[in-house]
Amino acid sequence: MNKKVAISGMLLASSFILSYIEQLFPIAVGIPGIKLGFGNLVILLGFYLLPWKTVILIDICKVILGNILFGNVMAISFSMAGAICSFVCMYLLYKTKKFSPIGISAAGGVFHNIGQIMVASIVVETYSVLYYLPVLFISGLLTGILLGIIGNQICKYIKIIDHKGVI
Amino acid sequence: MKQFNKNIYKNDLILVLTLTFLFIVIYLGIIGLGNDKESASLLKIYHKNQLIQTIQLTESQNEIIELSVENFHHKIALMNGQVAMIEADCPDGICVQHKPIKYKGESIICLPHKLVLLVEHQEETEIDAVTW
Repeated sequence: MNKKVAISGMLLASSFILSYIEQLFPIAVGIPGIKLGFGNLVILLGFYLLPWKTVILIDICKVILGNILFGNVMAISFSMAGAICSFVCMYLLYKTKKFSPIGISAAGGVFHNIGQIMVASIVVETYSVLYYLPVLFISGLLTGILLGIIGNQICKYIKIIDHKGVI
Repeated sequence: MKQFNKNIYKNDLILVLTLTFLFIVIYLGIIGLGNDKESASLLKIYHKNQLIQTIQLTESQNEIIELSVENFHHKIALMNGQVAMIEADCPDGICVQHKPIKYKGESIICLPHKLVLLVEHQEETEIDAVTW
């Protein structure tokens, strides 16, 4: 139990650092709103380290606190929708045990953007947001693959804790 | 230490290829939708706050429209979805110096002649929130 709490705290804190670092990478695409999404690495690792209910909790905290710290509070609802969408997708893929972190992260990145765009087009009540969908789709895919490769390497070197919290 | 089985990466490749295929489908779908009239802008021309003309703006358009209202002559150029006033016989000529307009809400106004060129019904110009 203590290990779960300690690891969750560490992952959450890491997600803030990652959010900060990703602001330092200038993205040379003309579309605003494209970001590398390093924070999702934390969620990815969480699947291998913690039970899924804990990971959901970390995800929610990351969205709320991360937006308060580094973004604007208004964006929480969009981000939450994307995070839930990507979490469900990633968890289902993880459960099948047929995909490595690369694939899980790539799919998660894509669905995160899809979820965000869907909510945005409903909230803003316009179809024009959908024009961003192709660009965000491909950027989510690419950054997901990148993060997945990093996560893959990390997974090889950390000790995996099984879901009862035992190493 | 967790070692992944070599075959897992093949599954990843299939997944990524499927997503890429999905992307292509969506891309074509969105581009297909983008060609309908609803996404184009409308240029409305008002004289003394009364609508006198409405022009559809499209991406590939190259025309010059002559506007004559009450002995005032204006020439409006429509190029590729943008509108500019290229000639006017008003005393200050401020409207002619205006940058070409394109987005919803932008306008070129000729005060002495009480003429307003207004763009409406354009798509969103930029995202104004980034989420984390």
